[in-house]
Amino acid sequence: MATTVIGQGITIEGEVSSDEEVVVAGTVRGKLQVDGPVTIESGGVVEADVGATSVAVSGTVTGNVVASDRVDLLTGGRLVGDVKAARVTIADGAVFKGNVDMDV
Amino acid sequence: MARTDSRIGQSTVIRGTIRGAGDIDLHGRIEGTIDVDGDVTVADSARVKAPVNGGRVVVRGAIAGNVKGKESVVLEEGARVVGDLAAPSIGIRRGGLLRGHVASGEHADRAPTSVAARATRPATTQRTAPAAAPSQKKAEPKSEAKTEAAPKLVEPTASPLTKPARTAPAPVMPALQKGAKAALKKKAR
Repeated sequence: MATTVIGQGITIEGEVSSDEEVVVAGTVRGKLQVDGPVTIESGGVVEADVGATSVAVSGTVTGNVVASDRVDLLTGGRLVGDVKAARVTIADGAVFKGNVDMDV
Repeated sequence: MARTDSRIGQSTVIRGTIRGAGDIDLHGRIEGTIDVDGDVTVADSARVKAPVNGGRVVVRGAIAGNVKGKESVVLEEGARVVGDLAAPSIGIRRGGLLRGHVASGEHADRAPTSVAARATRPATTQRTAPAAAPSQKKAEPKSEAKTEAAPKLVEPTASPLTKPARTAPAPVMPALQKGAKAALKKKAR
């Protein structure tokens, strides 16, 4: 289990950078830069610009999201900010406000 | 409580504050502050440059900063801590390294006032002395240190002597007294 998990009830204020999978079930404020997949679980809050290979959002994200591969906004997910990725999916029931840039 | 435990992976770097409730395992690099209610485990791969506050703190890695536990602090094998420890219960296992002050039991809360205040005063003089000694051993700083020290010693004694010279040079021509010019004019006639 070589991952980073920011658990429920934990708040990180500042800069998080990693080369491995990051799972956010708590709160991150600042910056989240990951060379790997990022999962924001239901109840997870990210108030930060996110950079990763892929981002899956079931929680709340406020900030711009840039992914080299894909961004998946899942049911119950909430995203306010611009999204830039090769592939973007928005599930039924997800909340999204912002621009999408998909290198057309 | 069914909280998901937190884990900061080996290749993860955090600059900032980690706080909140719940247990946390640190395997990566953290710079800032850690303030958690639950158990904090600092793994052998972790490099922490932050004050660590937790419930029960177990250390197997490196910490530069003060470590405070509401319940306990345990340094296990591989622990390298530069900073003070404070907790009701403190353990240092074989192979755990520490440079800092330890306050356990009832002293944990008032460590800075009672024990540390008494301990730090001689400690500071002791600490500065060995710190200065190695720098002098590096040959060149030694001469600098001496030249620096020498004028400081000489100056106070020399300054009273040099001060009159500094203020104004003594007059080469004798100052003429009142009426001397008139006397000279009379002589010239």
